[in-house]
Amino acid sequence: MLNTRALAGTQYRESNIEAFEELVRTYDHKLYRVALRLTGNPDEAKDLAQEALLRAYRAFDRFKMGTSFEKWLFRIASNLYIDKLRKYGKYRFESLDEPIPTKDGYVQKILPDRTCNPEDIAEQNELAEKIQAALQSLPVNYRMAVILYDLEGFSYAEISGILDCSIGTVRSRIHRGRRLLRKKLAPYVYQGTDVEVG
Amino acid sequence: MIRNMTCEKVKSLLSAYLDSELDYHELRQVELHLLDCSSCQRECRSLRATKDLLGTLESPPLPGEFWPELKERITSRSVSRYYLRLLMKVLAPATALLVLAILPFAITTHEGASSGQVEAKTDLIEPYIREYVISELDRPFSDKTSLGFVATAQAVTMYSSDFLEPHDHHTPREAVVTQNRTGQRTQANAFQRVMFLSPR
Repeated sequence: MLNTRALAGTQYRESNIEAFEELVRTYDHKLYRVALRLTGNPDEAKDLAQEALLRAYRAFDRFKMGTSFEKWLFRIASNLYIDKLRKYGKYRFESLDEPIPTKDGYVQKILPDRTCNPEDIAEQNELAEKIQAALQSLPVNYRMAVILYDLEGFSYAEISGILDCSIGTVRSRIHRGRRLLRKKLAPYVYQGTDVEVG
Repeated sequence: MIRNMTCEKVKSLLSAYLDSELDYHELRQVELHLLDCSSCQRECRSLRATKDLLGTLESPPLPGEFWPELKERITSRSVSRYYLRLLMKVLAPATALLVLAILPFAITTHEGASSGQVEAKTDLIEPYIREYVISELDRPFSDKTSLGFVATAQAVTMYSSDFLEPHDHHTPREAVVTQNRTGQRTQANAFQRVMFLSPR
């Protein structure tokens, strides 16, 4: 791997961009995956991941040598995502199956389709869509913790560093997130199991 | 202690249990509880099924345009930031020069009204102080420090040469002869400005 010192005091030169690319090549795909699971939209995910890398590139002088670059990078990304949610107010907690009250009674909610490419829609199976939609419906803190652990394999300690909270909080967020997911994905969770919907 | 652990407590630990993130004591308590509690066993199985379900999600590929776009973003922002910094580098000294150019005029204008009054007052008291200093300097036991001198020949020479120029060249300088502790005699010029004195 490239020595991270090579980028210390980085100036905006083509060679530095190449060096930066080499450094973060290990993490770019992972970062994009997390962004996609967080946003549920490929375009937003790409924008989020690129913006996070851009900020990492610009703030590289402030990276403490000897600490985890991956954790630093994902922390930038998670803070960025939360900032965007606060700024644009896109995030809201919504129930997948809660009917909407109207003058003429209740109507079943039709969830917004967060995928933009029709070809992708055709390729994705129903389960993946449901899981993604269920993830989208989670409160952002639960969603982040669940994605980082269950989808990307970070440890509780690493997640605590990324999300800047205690390990106990990480444990609690993952547990509550899974319980909410279990409720929303009940037909799939309990398929083939002998347990009842909790 | 193990018997005291409630189902509610065990259920709150089940995700961490599945993730092998419990400490030794918690792990033993949960395992022992699960042996006998069918409700917690069901809870545990459903949480495991949920976790497994998330694991079925496929990993989306990184878009091909990801890095070309990112490089473009880095470069374009870098260029704009570069020019911004360059502009600042040019503007900051220019502003400083402008301020330096204007400052003397501003100070002169500001001081213009009051400077005359200060001079007048100084001129009024100056002859008296000067006479006092001259007479005191000539006395061997006078406190030279209170007169603004350190009682050495060098100091007298320094003050006399630096500060004590006469008003005009037609007036002869008044000579002051003083003597330090070693008996060395030093001649100093008369005083024009004695504002540094603190007369008793």
